[in-house]
Amino acid sequence: MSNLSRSSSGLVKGRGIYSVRDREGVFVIDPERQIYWRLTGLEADIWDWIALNHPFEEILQFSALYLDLSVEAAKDQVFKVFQKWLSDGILRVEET
Amino acid sequence: MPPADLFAIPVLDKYLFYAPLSRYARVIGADELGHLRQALATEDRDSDPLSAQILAHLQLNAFTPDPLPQGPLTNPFFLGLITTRGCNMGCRYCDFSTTPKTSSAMPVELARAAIDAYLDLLSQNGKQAGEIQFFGGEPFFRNRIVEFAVGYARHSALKKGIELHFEVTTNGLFGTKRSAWIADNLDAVVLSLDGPAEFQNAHRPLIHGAGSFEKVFQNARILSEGNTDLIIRVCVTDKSASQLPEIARWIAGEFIASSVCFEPLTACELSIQHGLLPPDPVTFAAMYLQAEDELAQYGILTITSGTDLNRLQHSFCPVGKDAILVTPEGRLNACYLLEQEWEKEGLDLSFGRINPASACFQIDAENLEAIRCLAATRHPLCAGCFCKYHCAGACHVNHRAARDTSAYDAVCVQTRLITTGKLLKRIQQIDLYQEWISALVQAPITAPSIPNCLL
Repeated sequence: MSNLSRSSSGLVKGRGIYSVRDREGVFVIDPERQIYWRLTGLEADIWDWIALNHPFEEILQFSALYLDLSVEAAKDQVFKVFQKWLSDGILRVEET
Repeated sequence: MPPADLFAIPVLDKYLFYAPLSRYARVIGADELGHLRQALATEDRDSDPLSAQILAHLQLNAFTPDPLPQGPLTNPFFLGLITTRGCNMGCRYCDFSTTPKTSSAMPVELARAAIDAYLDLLSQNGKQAGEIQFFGGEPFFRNRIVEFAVGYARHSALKKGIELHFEVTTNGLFGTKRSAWIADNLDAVVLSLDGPAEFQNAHRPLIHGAGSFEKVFQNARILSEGNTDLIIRVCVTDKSASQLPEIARWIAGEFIASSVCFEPLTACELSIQHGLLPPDPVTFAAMYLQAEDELAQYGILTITSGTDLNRLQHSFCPVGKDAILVTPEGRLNACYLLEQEWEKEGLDLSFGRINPASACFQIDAENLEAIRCLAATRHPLCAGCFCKYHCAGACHVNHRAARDTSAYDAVCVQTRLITTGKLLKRIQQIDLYQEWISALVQAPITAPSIPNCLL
């Protein structure tokens, strides 16, 4: 996760993954494995913020305000989300 | 019903009888108008069958304008977040041009506090729906605020069982990813696009003078194909007014828009410097009505301020309707214009502050009441005008001086002509409308001769 602590610019959607937004949330689809994930609430918004290239610090600030937590406390939650998405393969760290 | 609210507008050799508070219009001849006048004057409602029929209809159908709010602020019209006064475009007619292009942004914490206070207000008053609008400058010049606020507000509203509608007014100058996000997340987008490249680039260049058309067109396409309602706002100048039907056809051919809003340019120092002037009001009205005919064929609504026949109102705009517009500094205003614009007119349209720490609106009840009173003020010029319940005297700031005089100005002229045309179309007097509009185009009437026959 060391890359993540600096910026979200290194985080990108997994290969072949695409997503569809509606008002309630985001469908993340892996057509190759034929599975999808439904993201709602903060997770859906974090997904959008990554897609819009918001810096990691900003995603943390937004998440802290969203959850009414300190930035430190929010960091744990956001990292958990990233870890899950990385292990699910819907997110990857782009090599620089 | 007071007679002042019945009107007879000469249209060629006939009269358009209009009773706005009964939502009733009818074309009548000079003789029929005479009978109607007599029936009203003598209160003899039975001697002339047509007069009796009209008067019976008026008695059965009485509507009142949307009431202005009273007492504590419990039912805000909408929450407006003015995320920044800065902008990334160099529009040649911008009357916000006194603002530094790099002006400060609303802090995210302030946006959150405003959303919390607004949702609490709705919740405490049993409201299940609300609306948040984003204004600028250019809201996406400081995109982070909007992109946080939409997600946060939607999430918080869901917890309170409130359905929110999101709308943004934008110049369309952003990347395609952002455009896709807007299309997916905002319910309505008011996009400023003045027409094909020749008009857009001449009116709305980038800060350094290059054309903006290509970028804005590309984003308009993305928005058009998305889930949002696309409202295209066209600022009309003396150069583009005669082209409105062509611009309308172009828009209808290129985009899936829900509506097109044509607004005449308001002259300012910058626009004059660039040789951009307001359109002649009669030309604007005639071309607007023809553009409306074009767009109607595609099911696209055509709008210009102050001519909505479906709405009976006391105030032209959010002023007086308890809209809460939060400035980047946290002031609560009734109007999105720059404060110096009102101050020039001796007005104070600010009614409080948001307290970021407690997420509460601190409302100055006295000022709020003064703003409501301003909206309720009747003006001599409007008293005898058949548009009084639609236009309601137009802008409280920019049209303030004009409505206290005794002569209709350009705003009045175009509003009155467009309202006449819309009424004729609404009551299916298409032949008369066509004849009237042809006469208007061929031999434009001048402002002082525009009739205002009152019953």
